[in-house]
Amino acid sequence: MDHQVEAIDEILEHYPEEPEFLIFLLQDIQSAYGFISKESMQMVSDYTGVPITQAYSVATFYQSFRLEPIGEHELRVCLGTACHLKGGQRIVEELERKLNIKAGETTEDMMYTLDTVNCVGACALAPVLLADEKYETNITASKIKKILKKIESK
Amino acid sequence: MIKFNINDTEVEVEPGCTVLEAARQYGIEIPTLCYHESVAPSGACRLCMVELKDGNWSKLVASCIYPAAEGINIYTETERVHNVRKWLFEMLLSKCPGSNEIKEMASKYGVTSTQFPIENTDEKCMLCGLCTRVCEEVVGLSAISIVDRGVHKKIGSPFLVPSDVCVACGCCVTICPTGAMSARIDAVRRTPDVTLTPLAL
Amino acid sequence: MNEISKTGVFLCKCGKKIEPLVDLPALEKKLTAESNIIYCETLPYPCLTPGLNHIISKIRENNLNRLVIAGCEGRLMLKKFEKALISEGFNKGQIDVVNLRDHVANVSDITPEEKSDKGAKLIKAAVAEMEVFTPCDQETVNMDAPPVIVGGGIASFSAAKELSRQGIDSLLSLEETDTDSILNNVCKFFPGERPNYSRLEKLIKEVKNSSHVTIIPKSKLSKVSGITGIYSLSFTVDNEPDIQKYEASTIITCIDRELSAPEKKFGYDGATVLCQTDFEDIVWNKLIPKGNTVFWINDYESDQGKFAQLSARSAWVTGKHMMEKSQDSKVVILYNEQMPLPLSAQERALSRKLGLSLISYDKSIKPVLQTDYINFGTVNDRLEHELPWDRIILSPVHKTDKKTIETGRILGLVYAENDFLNTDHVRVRPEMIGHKETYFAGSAFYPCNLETALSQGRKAGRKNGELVKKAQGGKLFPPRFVSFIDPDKCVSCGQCQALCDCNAISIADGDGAISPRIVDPMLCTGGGTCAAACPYQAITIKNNTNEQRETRAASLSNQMADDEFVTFACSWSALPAADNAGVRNLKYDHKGHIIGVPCVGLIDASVMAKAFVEGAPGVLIVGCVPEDCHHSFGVDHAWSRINLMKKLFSLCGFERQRIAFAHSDLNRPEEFANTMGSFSKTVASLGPIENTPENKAKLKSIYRLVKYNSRIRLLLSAGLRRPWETTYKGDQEYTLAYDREDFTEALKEELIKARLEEIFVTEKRSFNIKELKETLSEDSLIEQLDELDLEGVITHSYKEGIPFYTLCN
Repeated sequence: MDHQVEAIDEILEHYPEEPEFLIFLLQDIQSAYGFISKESMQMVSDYTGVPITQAYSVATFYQSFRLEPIGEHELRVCLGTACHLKGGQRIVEELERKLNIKAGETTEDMMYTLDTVNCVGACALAPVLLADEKYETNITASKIKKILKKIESK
Repeated sequence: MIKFNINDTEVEVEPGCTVLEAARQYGIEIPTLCYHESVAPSGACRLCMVELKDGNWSKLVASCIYPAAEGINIYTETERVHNVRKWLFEMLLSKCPGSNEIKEMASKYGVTSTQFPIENTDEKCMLCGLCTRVCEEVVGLSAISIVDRGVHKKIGSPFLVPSDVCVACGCCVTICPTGAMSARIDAVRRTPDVTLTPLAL
Repeated sequence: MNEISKTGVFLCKCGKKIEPLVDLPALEKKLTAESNIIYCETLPYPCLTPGLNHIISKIRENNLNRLVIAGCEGRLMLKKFEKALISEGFNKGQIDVVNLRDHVANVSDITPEEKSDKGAKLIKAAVAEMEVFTPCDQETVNMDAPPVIVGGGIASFSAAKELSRQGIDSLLSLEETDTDSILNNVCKFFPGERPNYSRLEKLIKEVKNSSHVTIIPKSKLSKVSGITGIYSLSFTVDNEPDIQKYEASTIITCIDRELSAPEKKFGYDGATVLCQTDFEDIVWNKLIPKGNTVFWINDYESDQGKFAQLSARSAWVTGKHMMEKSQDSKVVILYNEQMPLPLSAQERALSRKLGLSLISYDKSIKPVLQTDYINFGTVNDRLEHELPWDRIILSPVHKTDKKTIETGRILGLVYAENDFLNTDHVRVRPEMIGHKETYFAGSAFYPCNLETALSQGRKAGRKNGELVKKAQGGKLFPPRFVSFIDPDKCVSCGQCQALCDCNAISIADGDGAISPRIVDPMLCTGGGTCAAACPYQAITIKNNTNEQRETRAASLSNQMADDEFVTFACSWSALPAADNAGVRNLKYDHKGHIIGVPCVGLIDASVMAKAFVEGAPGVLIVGCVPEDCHHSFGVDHAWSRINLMKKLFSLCGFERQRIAFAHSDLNRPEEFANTMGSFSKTVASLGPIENTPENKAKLKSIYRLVKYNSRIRLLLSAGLRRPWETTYKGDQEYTLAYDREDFTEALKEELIKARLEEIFVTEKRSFNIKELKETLSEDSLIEQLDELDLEGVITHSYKEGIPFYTLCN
């Protein structure tokens, strides 16, 4: 990715300085930076006039907002009904072992973030793993190894 | 004035009152936990539920927020109400077994044990939100709020570090009905910032 | 406004929480019999809608203008009552809440009748205070003058822009106004911000062209005086001798600290071992140097770890630019493992793509520079590695520079060596939170990069704009309890200013001969130690006067039984502790009767003396734990005043233990309960002070002394802990010597004088010196008699050659 990430100031300037734009701003920062840092949350709070406590409350309420920086690659294991029945949990455990982290965490070298999600809509191909934006389907333990290798070689 | 009935007795209150306020004015007891006179009611704990009967049909309403209305029939000690209280106390005992205040109140209403599993025997916080409301409405600071969601919900200050904004007034500790805030306050309050050193030149 | 007070009292049943525990009918009967209580009634719940409506109707029926509600915690409930009754004119503090539930009903096992007695004492004392309480007219803060932005920091522009956006005119003091010069200088304060320069340029141009902004070019701040809303600032302009003066409503200070070069110990030579600030010019304005450039983020090693991430970020921006623009340049960023890398995932991916290495080193092995190689250790394998280098770029050093200090001094700010400028401002009231963010922006105040500095400026602009708008709408009010200095009584001794920890007291603008002090009500926290310290009683706390305090203490003391005592509880520690003790149903000794005060520092020694004059067997004062006081040193000051009382007791032959000081914490109500129990034992063992005419005279003399004797009040104030002193009073080096020689001697002399005056006032006849010496059991009185004579208090005449002294009319 070559694009210059928008400075927070520039993101803020897209919206009026009103409390109702809190979530829009948090979403924009989340998609630009992958997470919402303390400083950026403070800036959003100042800009919109929402007290920092309430901004923090909102940010922790929604799963899609992260407060810790994510790794370069997001690995999301689907645990929707079909994937769950087809052993999605075991895929999670395998990845947890391989990467030495728990679901929801990021590896120390900041390469991978592991998450579980609910139904990505590819039930016929369960179990499904989303590696960044790519759907990896009918996952097995050996496939996991291959996928990780592919990512690392890039 | 609005006239309605509580336990088949007529009561009369001004418009703007809730059923709970009317009951208290007439000395009728209804248990509450998440209600405090100094802040707006929130209806979170549901202990104040009473039965509103209309002919053959009835519904349960939270008296702390239900507005008094002309001619309604409210009952505070029916079987249905008792049943609700019993279940609520059992759930509270399983969620916050560490709170003596809840235990006492529960035993007053005949509940001394719970059928639900107990996760944390020290837990006292029932997430009634009184502490966050008093900090926002009475103190005006909004130093704490409810963070996270679902089973991970807890009371905290931003980033779970001692708050920049808390003035350590202790209103949250006083208003807490279960004694939980007393255990948490030290994680929220800061000792007052006294960085006063002489102007050096 | 001198209206006659008409007080109503409402007792709360609080469901079953007060009613059966306290005999409310008996209490109501007792109170109705009082002549100064116009109306008294018991209600199920005064605080709920039916109760409030009922109270309003009774207020109207009886024309009440004061209320005492005997219910539960005032800290929680008072706001609700005030809000509900504002329509009836109760908007100036005319409501008091006595905590009948948590201070009486829940906390002991005495009979309901005894509890109603105790409740009656507390309520009567509250009513007595209401009688002498004269609410002050609500002032508004005037902000007709524009806000001024000083300091020249980069945040000045975002602050000015924000104010313009709100349509508010502002003054902007800048030393440098040329846009290009400003931009060229930014790297001296914020390195690595080049990509943001075009937006910054746009901002600066916008501000310069704005019709709302008046720029004072080439100006340097030289003096500030005044209070919020009416400041007067003096500037030197273009180094000319003439001063230019401007009026402003608020002052927004934007200062950035100039970064300095790293210490020699890191090998800095400005040639191959450079700093980010001087390197930046080379990279962006000249040729990008070839070869290996290592950015060593050495902030932890130079003792400024909190700036590491800022340095790392600016290093990355510069390094990225170098590698994007030049094939022959290789950049490595070497950072201490303690620092979480402030780069997002995409930025790290980009670094890898460009070949920009990000290497973390073991914090316990300090990197070493040698010719051609820099040596460091890695964490995982503890192996030492080397990097080849052609130039090393060190982190800039963040240190408060002379210019910043000077501006800070003019504005009355404080700073600690190498640390940020800070305002003295204590945080005690909700509206005080965010004081720093409202008036101060820039790297002199917080660690920040360009973006955050501009954001701080914008925030300051926004908040000041809100204040100005509120003021212009007549809706900006100072808090209810603030100090007020009577300019006619003030002799400019400066004690109050030295003691004030809120930076609220300054010298009023005058012609220099006598310059009384003036309080900025927007900064005052109402801590009250200034009023209690003023040697000439020129200071009052509006709506919370010493007279109120004395009257309440007197009324309560009057009602004390032989083994009961008066307790003053501070609103930050002891009062919440007492409330919490009640909430928890802790049982403790019931002999103590509680009066809440905002801070124990507010309690004038005269209040303590008054309590004893009116018959209190004991007085207990409970404040915060030392160093935890919300008003900085109210606790220490209270200690000194209590100590004064103890000394006077010693001199008069009374037991010193009758007055005691204690500390508490709001979260330890059981300790408060113990405090009350312990002191009760002391009081019980001492019994009351015997009610003889001699003892009465001594106590009255003590009152007279601590209240009116300017010499003692001045000596006491001079010895109180100043806000900038770092140790508790007992540690001061010369305390004991001062105490023995100066203070105690002065006290003895002045006590004799006070006792003499008391005799003349009470007996109303002539005395010769022999009689006086006998009465006072003192050998030496003549100096004091002469002084009283000179002051016109007494006069003398001769009878058969012997001088006789009489009170003047």
